[in-house]
Amino acid sequence: MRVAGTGSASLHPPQSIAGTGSTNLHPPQSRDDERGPMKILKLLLLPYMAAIIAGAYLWVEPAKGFIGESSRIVFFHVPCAWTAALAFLVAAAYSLAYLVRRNPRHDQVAEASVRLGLLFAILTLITGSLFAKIMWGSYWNWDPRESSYLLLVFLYGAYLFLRAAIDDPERRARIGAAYALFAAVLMPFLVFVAPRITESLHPQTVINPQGKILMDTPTRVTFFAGLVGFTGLFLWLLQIESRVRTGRGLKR
Amino acid sequence: MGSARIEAVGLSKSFSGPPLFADVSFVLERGVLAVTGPNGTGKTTLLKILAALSRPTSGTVRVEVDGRELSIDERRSGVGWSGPDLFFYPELTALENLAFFRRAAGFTPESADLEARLEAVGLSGARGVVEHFSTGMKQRLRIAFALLLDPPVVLLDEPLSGLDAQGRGAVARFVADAGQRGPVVLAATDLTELPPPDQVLEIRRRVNGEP
Amino acid sequence: MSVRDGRLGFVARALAVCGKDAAQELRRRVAIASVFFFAATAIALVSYAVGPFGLPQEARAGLDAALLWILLFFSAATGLPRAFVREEETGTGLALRKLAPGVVVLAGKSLFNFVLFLAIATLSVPAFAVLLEWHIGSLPALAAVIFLGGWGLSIVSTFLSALVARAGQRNVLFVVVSFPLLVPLLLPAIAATMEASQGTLAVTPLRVLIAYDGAATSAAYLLASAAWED
Repeated sequence: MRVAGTGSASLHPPQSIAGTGSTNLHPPQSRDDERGPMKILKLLLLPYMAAIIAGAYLWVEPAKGFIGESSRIVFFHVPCAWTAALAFLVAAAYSLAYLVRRNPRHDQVAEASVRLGLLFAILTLITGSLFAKIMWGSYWNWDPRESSYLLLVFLYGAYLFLRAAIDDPERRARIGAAYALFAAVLMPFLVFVAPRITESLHPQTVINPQGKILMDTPTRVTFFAGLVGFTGLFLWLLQIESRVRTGRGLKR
Repeated sequence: MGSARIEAVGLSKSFSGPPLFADVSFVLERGVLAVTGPNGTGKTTLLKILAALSRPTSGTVRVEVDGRELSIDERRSGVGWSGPDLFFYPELTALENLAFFRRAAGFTPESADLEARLEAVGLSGARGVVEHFSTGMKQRLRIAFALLLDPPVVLLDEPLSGLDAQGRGAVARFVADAGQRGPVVLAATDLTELPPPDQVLEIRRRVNGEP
Repeated sequence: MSVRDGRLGFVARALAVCGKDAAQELRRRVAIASVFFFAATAIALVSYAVGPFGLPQEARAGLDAALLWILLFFSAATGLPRAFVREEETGTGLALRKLAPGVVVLAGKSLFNFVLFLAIATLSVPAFAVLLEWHIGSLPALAAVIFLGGWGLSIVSTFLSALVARAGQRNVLFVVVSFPLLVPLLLPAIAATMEASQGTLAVTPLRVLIAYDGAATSAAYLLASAAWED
């Protein structure tokens, strides 16, 4: 029996992590490393959101056709709905990136995005129910548009449940990504087609058949500013959430 | 059959923890490479990585046939492999199992050819479903599976386990023959009954951080 | 099917997988029998509780179509996920993964599941119609819904079966992950079935089903290797 020159295996730690499946083992970026502009934007977010809330109550007049002050909910309910949908798209995009590059960091961002999406979808349902109670006397009506967000909550929950049921980290990431992308393809049917082919109690949305924006100036400014603010909040939360995940390594 | 070559460069594998093995490299063109070491040191995982059934944490595997490198998908289906994790459909007979696997791989199965393959591993009389096979019969079927597509490179994980003396002798002879034709990588805890390999790769267990 | 120099094309390979699944299930019989037994039990329960002796016909308008699809969904949920779970139970997943790419295996198993679904529907619908005195106005329209709805259900269930095959809590996990994705299929299917029972062909829901089937099939095809391979 000869022992060949190149045929020895040792148990030294790998010299470099290259080739397929690299893991990101750098410590989480601390706040001190952050560049100036990002830090300023984050600091400004709090007063910005405060201004939006103030504007929603003090600057804007209640809209016609709504009971009492209830129209003000549009500044909170719609951005939550928008953020929940955005979170889904972000999760799908990062899931695709993961399947292509197999970088665990992408998978962590995708999961973080789904968690946040779940939060905002639940907030959407809560704010919507409060509005429904005032306008139509009951919290839930199985309205197609309401129900589509309930289904989104189930979808996010299913994604997290699926991940929780898989032990192997690489498989968990891959299966999660496959589910997220599969769901992304079917989501338009969930959110857009079903509500549109049946009648709905839901007030006409911003994206309406006439293509015009039926709002007065204070409403319009506050509303779109609110969308921007919520998006900023989401992105910041996403960064924190995925940072926490990286710090804990590849654990659940 | 043309020439074939298998090469591993810097392979390592870890499952969320310290690596199972690291820095595994070898080149094999013709002959037998025996991977040896105690149980649990990763021989099975290494062979699965070579067969493209598992991804390494780092490092690469190259298989060349007639001078052309195989893609990972070609390697997965083109390299012959059998191991203790290989199971068959219990409701089907040995012949049906092999016929199905040949079809699934994209090749027409011919009865005469499959019967000959079964005979070569000593299963010519086996008519019942695999569910009723003994350990030795299942092991023989595993060898037949590894060779089903007449692969240029053969990987055998614990080829002798569960076989009687006659079976072990037959497999040992087969390994010697196959080694004349192309690269054969074996994994076995005990090499005594096998023909002397041309190369040996020993994976040692880490003890208190020392190799 | 093409045979060039002894090599088989995609369709032949997928059919091989389909045939193998059929041979396994027919020889084993337990799993298939349990699916039909489940459907029979559910129909019996429903017809006893809300059938002609329970609720009068007028009070049940529209309910029957929904009940039928709930029945079909849960019967399918007991049988269809076995497609990939079976491979893990027998331990043969590894061998199959070695020789056949995800799309081939997914195509073959989806086809088998579709045939299984059609078998369930073929037995359930007449039983349902008889026991609940459910009137089928237009049989071709009903057949169209069963076909289109059935394909969507099969491809989605088979794909999800691949995802959950190597996870824990498989039974409840499958229902949880499949429900949100199948609601956009079940709602138009129920609407179209209601119309079929009244004798009309519901164009809009059927269009939605066709679009859904197309989207689900394409997505499953593209994601098959991510779902199946390691």
